[in-house]
Amino acid sequence: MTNVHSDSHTRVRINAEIDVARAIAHANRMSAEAKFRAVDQSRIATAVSELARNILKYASHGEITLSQVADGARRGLEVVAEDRGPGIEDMERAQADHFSSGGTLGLGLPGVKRLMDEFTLDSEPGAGTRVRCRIWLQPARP
Amino acid sequence: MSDTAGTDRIPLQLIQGCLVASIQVDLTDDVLTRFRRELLDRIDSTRVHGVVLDVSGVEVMDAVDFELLRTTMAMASVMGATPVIVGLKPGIVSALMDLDVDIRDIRAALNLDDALKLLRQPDEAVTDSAPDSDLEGDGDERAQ
Repeated sequence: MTNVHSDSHTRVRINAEIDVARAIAHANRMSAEAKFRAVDQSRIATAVSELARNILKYASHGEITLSQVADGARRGLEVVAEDRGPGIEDMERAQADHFSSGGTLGLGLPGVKRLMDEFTLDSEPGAGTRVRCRIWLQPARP
Repeated sequence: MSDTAGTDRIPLQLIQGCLVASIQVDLTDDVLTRFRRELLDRIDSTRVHGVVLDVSGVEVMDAVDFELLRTTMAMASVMGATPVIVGLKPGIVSALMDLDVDIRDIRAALNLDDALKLLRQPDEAVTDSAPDSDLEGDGDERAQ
């Protein structure tokens, strides 16, 4: 993923279910400020919800960082979900549909990947997991 | 998002022989679990033939929320009440498709009126006389 300029950011600690709602609220505020369309605001909120739930389910604790980013004239929003949980053993399977090691619905990572424009997954078994994803604002039509 | 999350309730109303649930709160496991119990009790006590879940007040629905809702609808269905979901926002629908949730058995309507029309039983359909708009058309063996 390319380096981009990052403006303001908000960090939300994820320790309990209520923190998922807090992360979503911050995502809603920032995507509205960045003037994303309503549909994209929902998609961003859903991605944040999935990532925050993953942290709770697999690592119990972690954080979500939301940043306004810029790449030249492009403006966007970056979501980073980090934890120091067990990490992911099989990165390829974790990004495949319908794979889960948590017993229920799967990691939801393929879904998050589809919801956002850019997606990278870093994980080391025993050390933790970091998901970084971005969505870019579509330029307004003339 | 409220600090009294445990007290959030989903109201249930009886309208035209159907139970209408107006979901205007953030979906959490607790809220949905209690709602499920209440819904099944009310279906049992009122003997309704349809259930409308109005989610027009819901801003965010992730895969787990949707799955809880879907299972609730399946339960209503197994009780004998047809469930219809109403008012899903475009952004939620768009996101749910990317999350690849199971929408195979989902019946949906654009608004409450349409949902109630969809759930109207044949003997109640006094005003709908146009045969070509009658989905329950006799003699026409559609695989529904």
